[in-house]
Amino acid sequence: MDAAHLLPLLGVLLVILPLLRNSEAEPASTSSAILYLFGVWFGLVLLSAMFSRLLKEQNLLKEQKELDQEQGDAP
Amino acid sequence: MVGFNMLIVVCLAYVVLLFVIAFFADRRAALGKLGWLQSPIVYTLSLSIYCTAWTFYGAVGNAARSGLEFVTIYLGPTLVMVGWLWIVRKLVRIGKTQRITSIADLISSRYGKSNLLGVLVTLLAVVGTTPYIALQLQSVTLSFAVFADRAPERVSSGWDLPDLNATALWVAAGLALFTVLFGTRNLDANERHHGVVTAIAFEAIVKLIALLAVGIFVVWGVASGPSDILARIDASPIANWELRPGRWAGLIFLSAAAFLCLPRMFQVMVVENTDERNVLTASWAFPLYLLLMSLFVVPIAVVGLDLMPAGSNPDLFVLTLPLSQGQDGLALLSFLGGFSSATSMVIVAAIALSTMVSNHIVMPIWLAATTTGATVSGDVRQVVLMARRISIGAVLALGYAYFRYSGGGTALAAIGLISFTGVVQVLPAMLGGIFWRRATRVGAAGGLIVGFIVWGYTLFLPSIGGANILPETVMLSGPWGLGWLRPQALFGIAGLDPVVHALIWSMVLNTLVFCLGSLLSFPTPLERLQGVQFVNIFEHSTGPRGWTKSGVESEDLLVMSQRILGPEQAQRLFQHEAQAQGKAGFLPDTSPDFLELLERELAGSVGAATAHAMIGQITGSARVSVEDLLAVADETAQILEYSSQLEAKSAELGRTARQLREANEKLTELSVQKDAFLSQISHELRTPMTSIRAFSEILRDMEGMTPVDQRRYSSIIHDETIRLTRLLDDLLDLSVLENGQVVLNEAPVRLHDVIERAVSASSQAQTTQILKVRRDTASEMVTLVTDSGRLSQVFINLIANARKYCAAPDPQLTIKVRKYETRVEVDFVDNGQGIPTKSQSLIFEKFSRLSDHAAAGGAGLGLAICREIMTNLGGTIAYLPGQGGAAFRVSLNLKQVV
Repeated sequence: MDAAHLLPLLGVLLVILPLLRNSEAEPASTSSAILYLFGVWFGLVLLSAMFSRLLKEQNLLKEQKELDQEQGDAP
Repeated sequence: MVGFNMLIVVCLAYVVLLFVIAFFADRRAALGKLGWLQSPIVYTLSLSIYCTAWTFYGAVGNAARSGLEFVTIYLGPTLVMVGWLWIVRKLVRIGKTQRITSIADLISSRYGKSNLLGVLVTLLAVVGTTPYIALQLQSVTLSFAVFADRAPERVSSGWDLPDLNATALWVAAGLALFTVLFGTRNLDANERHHGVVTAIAFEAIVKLIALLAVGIFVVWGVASGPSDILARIDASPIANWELRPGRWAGLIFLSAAAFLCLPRMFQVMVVENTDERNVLTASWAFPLYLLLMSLFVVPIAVVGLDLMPAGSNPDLFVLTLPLSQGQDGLALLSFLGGFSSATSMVIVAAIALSTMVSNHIVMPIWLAATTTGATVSGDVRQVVLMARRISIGAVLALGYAYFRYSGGGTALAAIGLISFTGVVQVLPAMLGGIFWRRATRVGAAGGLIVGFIVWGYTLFLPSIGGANILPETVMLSGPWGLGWLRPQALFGIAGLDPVVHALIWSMVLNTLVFCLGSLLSFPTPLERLQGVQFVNIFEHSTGPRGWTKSGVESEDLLVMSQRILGPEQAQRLFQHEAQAQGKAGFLPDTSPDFLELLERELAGSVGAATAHAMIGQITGSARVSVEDLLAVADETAQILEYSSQLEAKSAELGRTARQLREANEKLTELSVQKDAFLSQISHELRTPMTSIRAFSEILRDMEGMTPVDQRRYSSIIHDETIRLTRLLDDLLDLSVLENGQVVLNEAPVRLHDVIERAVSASSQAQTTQILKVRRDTASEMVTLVTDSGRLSQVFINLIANARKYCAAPDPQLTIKVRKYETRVEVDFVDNGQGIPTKSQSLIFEKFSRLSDHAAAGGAGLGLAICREIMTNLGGTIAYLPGQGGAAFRVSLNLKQVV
């Protein structure tokens, strides 16, 4: 859950990163910039999908636990 | 070659398909089979209205002009969705628990249900969205023009096809029709439009496939694969683009903020959200959608610059490139993609804006104008729906007017970002509202106004004005020669990109005023309550109460709710609540809990501010008690936990006490009735007995009586015995029914026949008054299995009652039949005085006659018998309050017809 909270910060960092490089000293080709950006983008999608899967499982577990507790309380 | 006519046909066919999809989705939803309608996929796809025609066509043009900068527009929303745990989750939860209907409603509800803020945000949204709608109209007409320019008809028949204004007008009218049909069908209590959302999800697929198809054609059809494309990119003029740091960071922020603040995005993301878990899927699926949408943008731009003649509009490459390569089918698909991007945006934007306008502008004015207040009878829903329909028309007309005024020129292309910048002025008030408890109405209003003015002055007016609105001298040296007030170089900071300049200044000043205003002003109690509920939405979803108990009649509330929610839904809500409180019938106690719930239900239809005002009109003022404020002041987890336990217990106790009290009251009343019953029955028996005895004595003792007198006296005796027999029959009938010994002759029968028989039977009785019976025979064609004789006995009784007691000068009885899946309801409503609330629970008891005068004739057994019959038939009969007259509802289970 905490890691999922941090994901957008990582995203912002990676997306802002191109601003830091000195383009005059070492000009980058547009094609590599495209590959970098879309790579970062796809990475974010994958990580987000992974987290959402984890969260879903966690929620299921939690619901199950609550259910168990309720049943445990009943008798 | 795709002809212009063909294009029209395809377009119409596509629109018809949309209508069909929306219609069937609406029908499914109406039948309660939601199923895939609320799946995460549909939710994710509906978010794609972020990608309008501006992005569908404009992204390629943007890439051709300024290289990779176009991705910033998609990276912002990607970051927001990836970080959904921060903001989106909170917004969705608040939207659901507070029944938020629009972004204006969110802001107004958070800041103490202030209507001023609702109006401000609504105005901002209308001003910010109108140019955007114009932009959509422009893109559709331009894409039409592309085909029309090449159409053979133009050469052969001299037909002047590309009349852009007429095309735009037709498109606007068609969109208004669609939106009115599916966006304002009903006043849904939670403001969801399944038909529209499904149609939009379908359009999302169309535009994605269209853009991917063009991209794949460009990469593998024109170029020879990815590596070739990458080489071409580096060789093309696009490779010379420069990364402008200010614009790069600024636009990412701007698009992220706009994604949250755009009225249409708020509509699909929060209002139309059916399940919070859908956000979980959308958190990765929507960024993926954006990724796919922008994947081929640069390749298309590069190949377009390469192949198309110099000077051709790069905004239309998606369309012109396939056409120039002879790929007419592909061009057509791409046209549909652009068309669907434009239509879906306009439809949702129109719905969102019309909701705001009707809830925050029209309804308050209407409420203030109708001095009679919220309790008069009549249906408000029609007013709200009509307001929405007119607003939809007005919004589209505004968009069209803007399109005509701006001349549809290139000036419009820049409007996307300008519009974004205007709309994001809501951001400080919104984020402050959900994260900062100390934020106040004064701060929010001040921030909004300042941000709006700065945006208008530095960006909006310079963009549309030309020399008419802001003269050249003002642009160059500031108003009155004050250089530091130059619209595009405020405070002497020159040289910035105009959009970034406006964004920075408007956001900084907006936030500054918002914070200062909040710190310097003091929140009202209601603001505090709402603030805690919004900020701590995950800690305790049920917050402190905004209403304290007051001596309000729940019947008044029912009358009002029926007008907004519709009779069925309001009655169901009231009945359900009454049951939860342990009461029978339709009128629950007006506890603070109930008022809170009711207000939230109403807010789902007309917005928080209006709902609050309407309930306030009935209950008096909204009072917040000291306990409520204490609950806000200290809220450590234990205390909350403890108090919520106490609350649950006291609610339980309250319920039991209420039940006991009610039982006790009923017992007392019953015992009084029992005495009354005995004296009544002795009286009823005694009167005929006395006259029988008297006349039989006359017959026995009088000598020389004429045969005429003899006959007259004996017939009096006969009549009186008949009266006695009838009374005894009724009593017998009642006791048989009560003991459940009755034999029912159940058979399939049409409700219509039963009602018909009842109406004609009761009209044969001696008629002193003419009772007009209004029916809807079509709805009566329901077949059910029941004892038709017994059922018609009930109906006859109800009709006879209406005949006897309805005191209106022109008595009328309305019989309404409504069929549900498992039961059927028959309402008998007359236009008389109705029955006072305190007597409503008594009328079904034996010998309860409300009017003392014996003119009524019966012994007061009729309704008691009716109730017993209905119990035996497996149904119910109940008094229905708040219908304007006496009203009874007979409800029967529908048994399977064998």
